[in-house]
Amino acid sequence: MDYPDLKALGNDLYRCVKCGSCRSVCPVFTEIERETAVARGKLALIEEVAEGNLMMSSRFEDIISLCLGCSACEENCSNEVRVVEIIMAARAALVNSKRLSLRKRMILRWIMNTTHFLSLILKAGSLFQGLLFKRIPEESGLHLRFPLPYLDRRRFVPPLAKKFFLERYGGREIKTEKEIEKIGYFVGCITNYLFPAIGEAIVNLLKEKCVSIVLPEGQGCCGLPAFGVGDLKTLKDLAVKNCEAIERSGVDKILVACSSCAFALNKLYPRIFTGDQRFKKISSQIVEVSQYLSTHDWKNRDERFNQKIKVTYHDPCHLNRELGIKREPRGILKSFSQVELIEMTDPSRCCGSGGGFNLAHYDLSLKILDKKMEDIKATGAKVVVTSCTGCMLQLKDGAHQKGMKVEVLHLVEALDKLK
Amino acid sequence: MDNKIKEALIRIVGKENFVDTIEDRICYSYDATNQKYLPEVVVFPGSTPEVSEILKIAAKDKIPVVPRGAGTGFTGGSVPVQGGITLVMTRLNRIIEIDSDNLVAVVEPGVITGNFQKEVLKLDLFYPPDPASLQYSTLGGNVAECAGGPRALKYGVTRDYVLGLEAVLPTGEIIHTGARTMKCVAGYELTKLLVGSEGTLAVITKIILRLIPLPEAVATLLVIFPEVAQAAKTVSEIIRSRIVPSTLEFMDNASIRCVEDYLHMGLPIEAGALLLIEVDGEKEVIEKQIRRMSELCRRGGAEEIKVAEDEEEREMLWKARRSISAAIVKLNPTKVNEDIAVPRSRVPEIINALHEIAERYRLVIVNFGHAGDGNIHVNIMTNRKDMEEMERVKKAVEEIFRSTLKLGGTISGEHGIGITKAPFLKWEVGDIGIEVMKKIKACFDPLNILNPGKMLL
Repeated sequence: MDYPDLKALGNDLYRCVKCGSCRSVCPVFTEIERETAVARGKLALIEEVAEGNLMMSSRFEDIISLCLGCSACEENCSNEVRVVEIIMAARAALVNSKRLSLRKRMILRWIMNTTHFLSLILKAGSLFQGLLFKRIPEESGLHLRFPLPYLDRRRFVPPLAKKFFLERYGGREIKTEKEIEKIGYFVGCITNYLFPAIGEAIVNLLKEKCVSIVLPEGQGCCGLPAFGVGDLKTLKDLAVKNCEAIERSGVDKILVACSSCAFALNKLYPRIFTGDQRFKKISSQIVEVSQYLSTHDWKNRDERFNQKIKVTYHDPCHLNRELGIKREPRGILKSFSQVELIEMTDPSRCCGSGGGFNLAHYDLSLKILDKKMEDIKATGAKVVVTSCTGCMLQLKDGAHQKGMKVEVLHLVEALDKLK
Repeated sequence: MDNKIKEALIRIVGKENFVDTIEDRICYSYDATNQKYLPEVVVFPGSTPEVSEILKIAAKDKIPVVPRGAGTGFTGGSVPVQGGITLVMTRLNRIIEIDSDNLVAVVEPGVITGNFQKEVLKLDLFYPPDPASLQYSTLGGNVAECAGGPRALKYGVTRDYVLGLEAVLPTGEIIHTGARTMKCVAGYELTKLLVGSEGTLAVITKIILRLIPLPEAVATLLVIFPEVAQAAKTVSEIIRSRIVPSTLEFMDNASIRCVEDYLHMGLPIEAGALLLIEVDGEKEVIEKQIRRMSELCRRGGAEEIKVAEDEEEREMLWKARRSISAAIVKLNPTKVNEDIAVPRSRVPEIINALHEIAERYRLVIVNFGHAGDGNIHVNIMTNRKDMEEMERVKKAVEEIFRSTLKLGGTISGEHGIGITKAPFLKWEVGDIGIEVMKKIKACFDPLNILNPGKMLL
């Protein structure tokens, strides 16, 4: 395995001086108020495991799973400890030692690895949604009729798209007349299966700018959910598949609209699979959508709507903290005269999704989400815009749980609607 | 520990507030000194009666009990050196009352200091003590260690704001000390005895705090000096000129570089030292003070004086100052941290002595802190795996303390004694002092169960 084992983290592991300042910013600690919830405690345990003083137990696994991966602690750490990397290394160590629960391993490796199979299952799911789910008429969503692993019954689930995005265009090039530019588009699972409207918005926007889109055939899940539970083997398999799909497509730039996918392809792959030059190449080709859209001028648009609409923006953790992008999305929104952009308190505070975190710790995830929804409510905004499909799922669940009439839109959907 | 005792503890606090897995115990074995001693169990009481019941059980079987707030102290105060029960007080975290008519607040020990300051600020009130850990340390911990902070220069330390306490004695008996009034002299001053007693005499369960009105305005200056000696001398000059800034903080070149490396905010990495000065009060008065101080600083050799333009800039400067302690660990992995204080007129002398000691023992020593009240944080950056260097560190620490005491100073300005400074307490208070302290300890805690092994008492 490319990824260093705990001992190989070496001095990086011991950078933590136990000052405790992570306690002041960790969303999980804010809810649980136990040292096991926060970076300092987890690092202390991982140190002991690395030194051979502590065996990895199921308690250890539970504690290590209690992390959103939001990096708020890293941002606040004066000694710049790479907390999330260390915790992920511990999760990988747990998987290696076969501590990952059988259920998790089965679901993840089997489902995510077989993209085609996944499509089939979800297609079947889409057709048989009525059996599994009860539709909620007032909102376009569903509730589970009976408990399934991972899906708490209270959870609000968007319906599976009747036609998945990649199916609609599958492997085709979406050509425009007077083509000025050609760009690849890495779709990602949530857009493909649940929110194809995001993909459609990108098609519309790029058509307007005479940009043709190539959909690399064979692209699949970016693998971040697998990484999140320490399954590096599945991550590698998916990464290689995506890499090959992109290489085959022959495009230079690859647009990514989901912040988490952008993080995975641009930062995670080269960081983990250090020996492999292919991932460095792919990484350099990735263009995050708000950065791309900022390079175009959207101001000469038919601004039909004179009525101001209150909008607020949520910073996805991966976009803000890992990729350092927070100005561009706001810049795009502010360029429209009918948008009144109101900043919520702490717009970069994690929504509580944390990838797999909200599956394993739904209650806690909801508590963390509650603070975010309260902050959104306080702005009075009618629309909350964000750039991560994972955050979107979470925020939609939040709006439903709290009965809030706020629309959750991806930045590209908002841009597409504003024209 | 007998299972019966564990069951009794569970009956008091509830199953969810009792942990004894090895993983949980490891997470409560350290404080910011990163020394680790395992407790046997960790409990999270939710009320004063629960604390009392726990101590009664502990007393019966002579089980050590160590009270703990956020566990962020610098001297091992909350580290359970003799195992036993770690009593985490963070569930007692209510601000019970803010009485703006009487400028008094009543709080539980688990309240985070910074949060309390924000709450009273909403009422235009001010709780000045500002230890660097205020965003995550607790008022209870601050009281137990008599925490200080930069504003101590003008406003004093935690002790100066504690009017009264509710505390549980090691026997389980509940005691109330002090009063809600500004003045109180009813018997011996037990309140001030408990403040700074480092959790060895009683467990604090309620704190009555004094508040003051919020100053109208505050101005923050960053003053850059090419030489450390100039900065040190300017500190004395400012005090001599009868200006009392609210803070007068000092950062040496090493601390500036480490923080700049982390924050990239344009700090002067070539400077010999910088001073971070704040004045507060009425607008017209502080404008005058800024002018006078700038003049003094220029005469003292300052090459640049910057005034923070807005709240955001001010926050950045304080973030930089509070980050030093952790940021300097990038120099070397082991930090031996001392917190000496000397009369402020002797700050230039102690700075000289520190440089001389660093050179003679070939050690990296970073100095920063509350130059205005003579309290310098001396940090020897070393590597505990280098046995030979650790010997030199040991000798250097002894010399630092000797020089400090010779200048009429103290071996701890605000961090307390705990484990780390215990061997040197005798140098400062003398044999008789130690004897008296031991008697006081025996009087409160005849069984020696409350935070045993601290201060060598």
